[in-house]
Amino acid sequence: MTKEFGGAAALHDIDLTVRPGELLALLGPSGSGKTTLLRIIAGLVEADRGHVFFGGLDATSLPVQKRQVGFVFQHYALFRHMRVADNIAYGLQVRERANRPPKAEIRRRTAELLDLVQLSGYESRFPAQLSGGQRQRVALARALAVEPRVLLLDEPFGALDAKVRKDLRAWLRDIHERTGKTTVFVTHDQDEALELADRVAILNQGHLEQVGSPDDVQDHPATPFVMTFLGQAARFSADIRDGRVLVNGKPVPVAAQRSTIGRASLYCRPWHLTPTAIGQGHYTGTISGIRRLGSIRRIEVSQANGTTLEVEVPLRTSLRLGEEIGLEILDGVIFRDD
Amino acid sequence: MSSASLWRFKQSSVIPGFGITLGYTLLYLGLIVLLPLGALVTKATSIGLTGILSTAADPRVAAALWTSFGVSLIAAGVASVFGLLVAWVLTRYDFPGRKLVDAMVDLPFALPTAVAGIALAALYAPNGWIGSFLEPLGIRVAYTPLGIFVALVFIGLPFAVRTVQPLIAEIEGELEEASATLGASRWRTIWGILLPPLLPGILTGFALAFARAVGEYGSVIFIAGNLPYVSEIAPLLIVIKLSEYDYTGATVIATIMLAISFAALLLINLIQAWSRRRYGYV
Repeated sequence: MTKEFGGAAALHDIDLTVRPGELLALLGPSGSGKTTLLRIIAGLVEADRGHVFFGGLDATSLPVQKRQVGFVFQHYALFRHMRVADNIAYGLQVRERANRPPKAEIRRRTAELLDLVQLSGYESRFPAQLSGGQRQRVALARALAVEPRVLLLDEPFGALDAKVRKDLRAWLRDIHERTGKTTVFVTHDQDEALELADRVAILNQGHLEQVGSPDDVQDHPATPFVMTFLGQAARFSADIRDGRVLVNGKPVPVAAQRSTIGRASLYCRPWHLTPTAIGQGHYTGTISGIRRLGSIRRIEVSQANGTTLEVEVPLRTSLRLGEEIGLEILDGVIFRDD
Repeated sequence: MSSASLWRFKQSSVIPGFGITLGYTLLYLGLIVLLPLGALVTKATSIGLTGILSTAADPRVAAALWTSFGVSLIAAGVASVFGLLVAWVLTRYDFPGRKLVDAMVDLPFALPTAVAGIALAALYAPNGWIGSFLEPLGIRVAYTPLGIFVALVFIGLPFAVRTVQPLIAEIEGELEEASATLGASRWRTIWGILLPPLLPGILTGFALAFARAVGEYGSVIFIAGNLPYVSEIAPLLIVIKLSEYDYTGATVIATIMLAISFAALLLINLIQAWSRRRYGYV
């Protein structure tokens, strides 16, 4: 499946291929164009230039009604005046008579889908009588009822609270494995994308920054934006000389291409840094905060110039607030400054 | 206080004064609404049931009642359809002058009805701006039941628009998109998704426009021509009876109108209650 886009105001030359049967996350900050991209795939928005392909089929000129996509909206968009079962059956009931399954078949399919989304027994409720998580499950069942070529979800868990989000994530993964439906979902939550998706496409200001597996984008971020967007990262000015990376004149155990020489930026995660004695390591600073994060502690180290770094340390630590320490860089990702 | 009392008049609320407001409501309704209506019915029934029936059977009265209720019904229906359209355009689209058009919808409310009647009569008279075009086509509006219809649509429109407007504003655009992605045609989306939630509002607008049309006097008499048996409305007949000092006859016609109106509004309310149940919590 290939989708190519020309700049639809918010998008610039996006070339993205979704593999059959995969669960792809479109990840990016708000305003990055991820929802626009999803709506172009669905046919709800037209691209100014470029094409959308489903398999070998050029769907660019197909109206939304004929694209056979399942779309799940952030705010569910359930039909309030219809019962749950009628909501789910709607996509089948609106078909032209020639393609419409018989009534008994529609009923059977509806019951099957209700079972899939674990809402059997709720068929004669109205959407107003359901919780947010239940409504989103109905919306998903409704989208699946038409046997879409591709399932598109726009921030599906955005309006739900943390606990329900977590449950629904696991549940969506499960549904995806059972149905094998090619799925694209939009999210601004990196944890959600990394936990759920087979591959993650990261968008920033209408540009596709990187597409890759969760391991790929985390271990080998293609751009500084990907590095900083996917998690806490500290930036250090670095020099590259003879294939070695130097920060404050001291070498860092990070590989650089042998041929490159010049200024660069080194980005470090909190676990890429470790405290050492004063005078050793690459930096010195004062501990300005100690927080516990589950099984580890994170300390904030303030430098003389006012910037603060986050460093991960074991739970049992002798470090105290206000203590002056050195910091050693163990690892990081290097980007050339151009 | 025992909470097991059958009539729980005590309502806990952040706003106090349940007792005094309820008392005021009942007193107000009694004095302003029920007392005059009661007096009307009492006066009318003083001639007995046979007297009422014979008045209703009078061909001129019957014709006037038919005209009043029949034309009001059609006019309210037409006003509802076009009111829905106007409300949709005013709510869904943004265009230069939208606020101005929106304000214009209320003009039939504010205009003295006699002014509206004279204006319409002047427009639709055989030598008027619109009437002179219709005359060669053999269509006469002024001084016929068609004229009554035009006047009643005019005064009914604001009711139809204002009752559905807030409901249209409530419909999320995503509903239409959801319907489209599921393969529904545009017509199907309009009939199946957009109209059902608007139905209560449309019915309310229809009921208000109908009630107003039945009671309308000023704008109609100028354009209707008031030919007995053809274009004479019941309220005019009441005025004629009054000018003939036939107070009982006037109140009898009024009571019959009251009864029919009450029955019609009750019916509309029942349909509304049914549609609410049918369509859940809309």
